[in-house]
Amino acid sequence: MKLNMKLKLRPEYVLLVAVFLASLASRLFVAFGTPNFSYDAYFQLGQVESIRATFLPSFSRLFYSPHPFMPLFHYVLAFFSLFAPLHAVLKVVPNILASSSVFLAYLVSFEMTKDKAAALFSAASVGFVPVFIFSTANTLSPYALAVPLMLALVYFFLRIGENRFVALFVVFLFALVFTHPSALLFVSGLLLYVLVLYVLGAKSSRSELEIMLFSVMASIWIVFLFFKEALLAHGFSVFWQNIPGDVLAEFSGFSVFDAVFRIGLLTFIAGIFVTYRYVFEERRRDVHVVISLSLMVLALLALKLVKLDAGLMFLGVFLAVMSGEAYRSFFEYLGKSKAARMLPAVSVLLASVFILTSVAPSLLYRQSQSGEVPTSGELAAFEWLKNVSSEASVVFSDVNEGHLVVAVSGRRNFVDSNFLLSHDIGQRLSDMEKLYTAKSQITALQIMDSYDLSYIVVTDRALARRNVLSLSYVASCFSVVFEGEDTVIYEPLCRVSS
Amino acid sequence: MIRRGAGIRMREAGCGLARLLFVALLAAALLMLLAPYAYRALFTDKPVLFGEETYYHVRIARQILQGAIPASDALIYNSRPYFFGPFHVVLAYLSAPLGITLASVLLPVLLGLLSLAFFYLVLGRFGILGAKRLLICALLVASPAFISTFSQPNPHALAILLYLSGFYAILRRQVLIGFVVLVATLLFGLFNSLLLLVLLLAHYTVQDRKKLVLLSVFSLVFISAAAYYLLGLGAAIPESSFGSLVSDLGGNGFGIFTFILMAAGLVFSWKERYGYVIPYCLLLFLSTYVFFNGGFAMAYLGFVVAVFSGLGLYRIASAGWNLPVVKQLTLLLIVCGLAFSTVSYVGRLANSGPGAEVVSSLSWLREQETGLVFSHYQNGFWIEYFSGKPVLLDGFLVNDLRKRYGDMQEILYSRNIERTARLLERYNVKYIYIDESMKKGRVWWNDDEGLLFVLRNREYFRKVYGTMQVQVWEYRKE
Repeated sequence: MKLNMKLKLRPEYVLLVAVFLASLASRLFVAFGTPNFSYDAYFQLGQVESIRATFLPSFSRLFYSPHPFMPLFHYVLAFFSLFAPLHAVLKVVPNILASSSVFLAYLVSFEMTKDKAAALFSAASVGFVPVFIFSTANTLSPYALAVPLMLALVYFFLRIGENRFVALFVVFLFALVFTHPSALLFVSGLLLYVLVLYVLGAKSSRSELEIMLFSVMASIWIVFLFFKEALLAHGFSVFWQNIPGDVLAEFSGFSVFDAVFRIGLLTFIAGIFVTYRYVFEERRRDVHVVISLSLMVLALLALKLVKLDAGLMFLGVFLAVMSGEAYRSFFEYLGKSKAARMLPAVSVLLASVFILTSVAPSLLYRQSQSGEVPTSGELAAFEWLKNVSSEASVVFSDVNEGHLVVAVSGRRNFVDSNFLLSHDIGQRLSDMEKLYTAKSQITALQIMDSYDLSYIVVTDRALARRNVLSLSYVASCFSVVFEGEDTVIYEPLCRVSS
Repeated sequence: MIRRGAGIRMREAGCGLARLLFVALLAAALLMLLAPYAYRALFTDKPVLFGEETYYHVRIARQILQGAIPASDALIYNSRPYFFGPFHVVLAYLSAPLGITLASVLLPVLLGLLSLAFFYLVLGRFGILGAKRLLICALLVASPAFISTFSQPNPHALAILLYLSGFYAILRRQVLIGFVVLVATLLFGLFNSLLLLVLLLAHYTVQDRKKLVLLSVFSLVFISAAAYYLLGLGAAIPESSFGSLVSDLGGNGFGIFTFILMAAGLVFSWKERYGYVIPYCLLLFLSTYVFFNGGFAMAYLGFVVAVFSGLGLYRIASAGWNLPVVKQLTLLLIVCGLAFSTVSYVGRLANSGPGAEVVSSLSWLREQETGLVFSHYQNGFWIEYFSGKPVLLDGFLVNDLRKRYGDMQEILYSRNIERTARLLERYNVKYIYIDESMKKGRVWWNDDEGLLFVLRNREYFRKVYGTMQVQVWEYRKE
């Protein structure tokens, strides 16, 4: 039987796949720049291992306080690890997921512009938003799945009038909600869209309103279910994640220079141009959806309700999606003007600017990420604890090394970078600093007793961060049980009470 | 004729079903209001009565039961004049045959069921009937504001019943009876006088403008009289925040879905806005009051919110949708979300204080020498009730509130021993009472903050009672 099928290899599809591969390659280049993952990635790694072992994530086991989170991303990684070695899956799969944003950006942009070249430009811009690569290439961040899901939802929303996209929207919305609470950003962006249309004197379609009501209800309810304890404990302050004031710098306001560097010059300018044009001069519902999402991110950034990197990442992706419209308008204008003959030169110039301000920073990150990744010496120390210490041990480490204690050593940690449900985080962080800087042995032993600490892990980085050469109080009552190239582990020999 | 007869029979059958559903709703309300008590009695060692203010009303009712109506409340620094409240008298009289605890459980529940019945009748008078009326009542019963108000003894439970029954009488043109009942609400405080004025002005603006002028004069006279002796006294210390409105964020107001439905209800009802003048006026007045003063006005706001959220839900459920699958999913989510908020809130009430440790520590304190007890003002009512000793501040207003509240804050947060000692001397404090909630965020997070740091000074302070959750310190006067 002869197959009556023609597979058309359209040039735009070939180019799109090339963009996807280029984006993936640059991500893998960053990810494989170091054999290890970033410090916080070890939380995700521990969860994937827990799912592989028990089919369930671990919300509280071994953590100093319960750590609620949305587990879909971890299930996805655990699923892929059935077919390939875990380390390879963790390095490659999140990057494939994040790079798939390229296809979705193409679809959204094409829906807005009906122009293949413009859509390709958007796809390339999304594939190389520097902050998106920094935040997801080697961090095992759930954003690697959340961003493409969000772009897919935008596409389905634009085509919600067609029945087949309704079911897809519902399924993808649930997927997004179970991946990351940033689903709330998406639904609040949609609400802003209705408001923007109302202000501009237009009306949303009935289907849009219906799907939006459903989205608001679904995402709020599921997020409330998962984070109920945190919401009851902190109320509206939950957005600040119980982070003590002095650590809250992560949420600090952003500068335009910062935004341009992390989002990419061309993407930034093009996105801002489209926003300006469609807010003040022209009206197009499809463009307004993405503009509303961008404005919502900006509002959250301004109110310091979102971490700087996460906020800029979403902003960068949305501006990149809109940049296709700017590209289309610009080249349409140029083609009609007297400067039409300069079109090739302008194209080369724009491509160069894009490579310099978007592609190059993404690739250069490979070198600068070393400070955010544990060294092999540090990992060896935590591995040693896993083999030698008793299972009931509580291990002291610096705040960013806390996830290593749980994921690598399999022991209870003293503190880590998730503060959400800690009732005494201020006290803990203050005691942590005291243990690094105390002069008195009594003070150190009192702190160790009050938290029932079994070991102190001291890395060179933790000491350097505090301008300390070594612990001053470890002369008599502490023994060195492990000494690596950049990490020492102490065990207390006495107790204050005894 | 045959057709007409069939129509009447169908209507009667419909009415019968609606009544049956309403009775089921009353039964559900009864279960909901008694659930926290049942849980506490069966599964915990906590005292049956819960909440802070509860213990104030029970204490006053007990005093009335034992003798006459008190002239002042002596269990607070410098004493506080007691102004007559009908709720305490009703609770005292009911306590005589039933006992104070049972009466404190049953009275608010009974008031809640009667209020629900009158609310149902009032809605009928406004032409809100059938499924719409049942939905509104169901949302009211499920709202944390309703559960909170009618599961704990408090004067607002009685005031609400008086408003609803009086207003119902007016709607039935039994104006005299209605006014007599409504005037009784003036005994509950200045807020209630204002609320009555708003209610009647809104009603007569729509119904009969000639009576409006007469009513305004009549009301102003009563408000002036009420303000004269009720101004600010007996009302709770204001604690306003948006978070306290949302029960899912730890407040006592409404579930987040109720807010979404209310927004929908407001949008949908705007087309028939002239039919909803009274709920609009009440919503404006009550939400403004809640925003600035917080707390108790939520009990009244619950009824207005139920009207709009019920309208919103009815419209969502009855309208034809372009996307029918999404409609089914949305309704399922709404039902689950509302149930989640309600069950979660009932669980929170059941687990709320006072705990067994608080009761035993304060009972121990009762046996000690008399003297003023310093603590966070939210522990005030419990200290007064269980220890029988005076406190610096409780949840109600006092004449010099601002100064006293400032001093309380100063004592709690200052690490300067001399300053703390001077303030403790000024108020003649003998005991300092610290419980778990104070150390877990209500006042401090760290054990070397403010007063916790100062208490380490053995020269001034001696720990006289200590468990994992509660410590009592004695202040050694210089």
